[in-house]
Amino acid sequence: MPCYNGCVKTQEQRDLFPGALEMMILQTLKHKAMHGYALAQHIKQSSNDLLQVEEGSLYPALQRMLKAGWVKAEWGISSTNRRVRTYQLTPEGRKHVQREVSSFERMLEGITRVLAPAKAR
Amino acid sequence: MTWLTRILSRRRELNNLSEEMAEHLQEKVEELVAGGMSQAEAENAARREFGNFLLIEERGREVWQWKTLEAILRDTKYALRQLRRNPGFSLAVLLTLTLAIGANTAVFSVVNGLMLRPLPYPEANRLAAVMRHRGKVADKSFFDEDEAVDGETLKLIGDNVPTVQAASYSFASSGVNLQTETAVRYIQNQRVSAGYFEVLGIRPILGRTFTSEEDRPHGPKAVLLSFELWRSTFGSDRNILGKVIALKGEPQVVVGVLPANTHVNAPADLWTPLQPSPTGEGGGENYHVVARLKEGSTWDQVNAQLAVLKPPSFIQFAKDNPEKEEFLVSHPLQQALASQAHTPMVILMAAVGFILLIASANLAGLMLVRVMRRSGELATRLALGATPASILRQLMMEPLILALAGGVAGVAMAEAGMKLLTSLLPDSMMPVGGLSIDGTVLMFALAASICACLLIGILPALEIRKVELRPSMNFLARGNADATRQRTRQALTAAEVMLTVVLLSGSGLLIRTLVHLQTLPPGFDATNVMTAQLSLDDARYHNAPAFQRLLQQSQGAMKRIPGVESAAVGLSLPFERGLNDGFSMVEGPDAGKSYMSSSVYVTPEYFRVLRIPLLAGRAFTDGDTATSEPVAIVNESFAKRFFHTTDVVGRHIRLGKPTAVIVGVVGDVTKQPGLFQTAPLSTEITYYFPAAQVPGPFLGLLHVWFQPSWVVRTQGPVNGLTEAMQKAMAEADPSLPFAGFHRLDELQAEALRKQRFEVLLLSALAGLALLLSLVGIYGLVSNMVVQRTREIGIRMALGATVRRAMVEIGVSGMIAVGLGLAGGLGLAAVSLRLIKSELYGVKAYDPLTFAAVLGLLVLAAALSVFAPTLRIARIDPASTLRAE
Repeated sequence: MPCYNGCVKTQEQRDLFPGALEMMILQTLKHKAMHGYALAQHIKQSSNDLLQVEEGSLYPALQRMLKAGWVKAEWGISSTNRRVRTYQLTPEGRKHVQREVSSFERMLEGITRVLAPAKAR
Repeated sequence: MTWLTRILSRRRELNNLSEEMAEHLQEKVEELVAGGMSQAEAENAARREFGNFLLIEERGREVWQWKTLEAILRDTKYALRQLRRNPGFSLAVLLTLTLAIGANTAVFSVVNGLMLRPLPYPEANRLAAVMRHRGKVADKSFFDEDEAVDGETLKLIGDNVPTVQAASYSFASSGVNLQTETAVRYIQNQRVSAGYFEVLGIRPILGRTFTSEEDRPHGPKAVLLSFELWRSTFGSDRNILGKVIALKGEPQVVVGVLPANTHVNAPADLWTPLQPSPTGEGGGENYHVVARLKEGSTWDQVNAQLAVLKPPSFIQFAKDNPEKEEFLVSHPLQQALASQAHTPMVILMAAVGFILLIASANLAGLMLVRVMRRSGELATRLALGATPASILRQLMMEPLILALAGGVAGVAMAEAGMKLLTSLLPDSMMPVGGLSIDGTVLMFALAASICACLLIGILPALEIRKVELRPSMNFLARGNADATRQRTRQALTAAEVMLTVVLLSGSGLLIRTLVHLQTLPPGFDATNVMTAQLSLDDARYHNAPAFQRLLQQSQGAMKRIPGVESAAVGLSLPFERGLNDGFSMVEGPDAGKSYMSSSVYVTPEYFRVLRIPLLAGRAFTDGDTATSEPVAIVNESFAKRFFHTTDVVGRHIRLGKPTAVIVGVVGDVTKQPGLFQTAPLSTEITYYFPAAQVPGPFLGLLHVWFQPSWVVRTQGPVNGLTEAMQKAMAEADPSLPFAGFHRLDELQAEALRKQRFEVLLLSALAGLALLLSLVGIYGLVSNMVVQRTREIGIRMALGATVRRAMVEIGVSGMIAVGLGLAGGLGLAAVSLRLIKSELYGVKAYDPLTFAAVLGLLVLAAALSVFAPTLRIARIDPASTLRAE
């Protein structure tokens, strides 16, 4: 089954939770404006190849974020001299990713706490 | 971004997306080539990894759309295109649905009017009818309820139930004569008590309602006009109040005018005070009670107060029937008014429901074929990434559009159907305020449409789950899936046949009932008899000599009409209801006991005009007068019931005060029973007494309730007979118009109005069901022929005969029919119990009816199976093989 709604897959092909892809894209864009291809490459590399972004999910996700006003896009020329559409975080997007990341971290902490004693036993 | 700029920038954004994705792909390819792949390899790899380019583009695009709305719009356009492409199919479906939904809506409008729509009175839920409840003390489930009470009971209710405001009325309206400046009109008068309109919440548009003074026996004569009469006869005269009109042969004062459409249970042109009393008509159960719950009271309190009331008649009943009890109880007015209509409504509603089911089954079969034809296309679309949900939505769009259009057209048809129903409905089934399409009826039509849409769409929808990609795209491997679909259609057809069996047998039973009632031995000879009724509720004829003079002169004049053999007058006729009156036995072991019997005053020639056979003794003669010995003639049933013999000439019974001697015994005639309403027509214990011996005071009472009939026998058809009869009457009294002229078969038809209504409607529906089922069977078989053309062609090429192929296909059609018949008989056995109370002279399980239904269905089904198999003969093996 193809994954349409913005999912990223781990190497074990397990779907991440919804919104994960958006969060990672926004987080990546926080440091630097990027175009789609670079975004996919960046996420793959920075996760040590653990996560793989499907192009099939990337572009619909970018469209959703454009619509939500979290990013804006501009056509330009890349370092490799190629016509690319670069995505840039808006102030609104910056606020959103802040919120998302902190709530995600809280969730992760919770999950870790639950899992830790189970391992100890 | 506002939604407006979003729409404007949408196209640009979508172009951006396509371009961007193309660039992405390009970049990937370049990278792979740089990594050492060949250009072609790299392009393939990149595409594989990227996934379905179009699909991704579409998901991206959807972000900007009102996804569902636009998809629905697209599906609607697609469905409309499909429907336009097959105008024949669309029209057939639309017509079927219009008929089915229209019939359902029209019948439902009656149910709505009778049971759901509030009565057209303020706070109608606070209105109730008070009834007499008689039942076995031990067995609460068996009881008999009657709405009419006597004068004593009425007085008790008025005095002892402070929780309600009660009023009373005469149930039926009766004909009276209104003298206007130009003519005398026969109009309908209903009698109501003071406070009646206040209880209902109806205010006069002019003047006032009746005072309690006017409602007392022999009180001042007062009249309330209906809006319609005020407009038509009195020219909407605003100064009408206080004017004197000549009604019932005496001056009466108009005190008010009521708003339009005021009547409750019977059409009325005007109202006069009921003037109830414990004696006279009040000695019998002749009053109806309507009550309005007072503020702060509950129905439980009302019923508790009613239950303890014990009028003398109840005490007498308890004495005569120790195992039974009688008490008063209130029922919601709406329920009480609709009580007669309940069973026929359930039957009709079930029948139209069946029609909707059968029609839907037919259409589901047609839809199924269309989906089957498209299975290749559907499989391709699934393969290209369409989701099952989106295909389902598209498939359901066609039935939805058709059903909604059918619903709209159905409501329009129901409008016409309601006009027809209004003219056909018997009074007991006519809702107060008539039939109308209101919100509830529209909701019902919508629900019926959606129901039809689901029924039509559900099977094809289930089928697409079974669409398998490979076999659907490979035409050679499709046989198996088609076979299961054929079975589904066979099952649908069987279901249609099943429901049709029930409808046909139901209407068959009702037809048998009607035939039974119409062919009951009448007990008289109706040929060459003309009858005419008029109102003698007239102050001038409340004394015996005037009444006698009128009878003498009018009969004499009628006998002088050329061609007329004999003429007579009677209070009631065969096929009509008679007066219920009490009498007591004066001889034998039952001496002193009182009984009720039907009774008719007649003039001497009554039996001769109607040719009612005289079994013993003599008929009345001109010698039986007010001053001679009181005499009576009884019918055969009466003699057998009370004397256990027909040899009763010379025995005595007491009618009112005088003791009358029985001078003759006549045969029973068929009439509407008034004592025990066990059937619409039957014989009944009856005694006859001479019109010449009716005491004066009794005349007024009789003629309030009954309009006597003049009957003449002619030698053959007489031209201008009715005009001549009216002229003869005018010789005796020019101010007495006949209400109408009827042959006796018309009286019979009127008595069987409800039965004829039921037969007409149910037969029409059963016929429609049969037609739909035959179309369904035909469709099933002809589709089988088309499906198997290839197979049959091959087999014929290998030597099979046409006859064999026809039999084989025909048999699978007949199997469906056979299953339907078997199921139908089972369903009929369960459901026809419902119809029992409407049947007379035939049992619910009538072998003859069932045999006729089965015979008809088998024959008709065999024809519609056989017709399409004829096409097999035209199959050319060579061309089918070439088509491979």
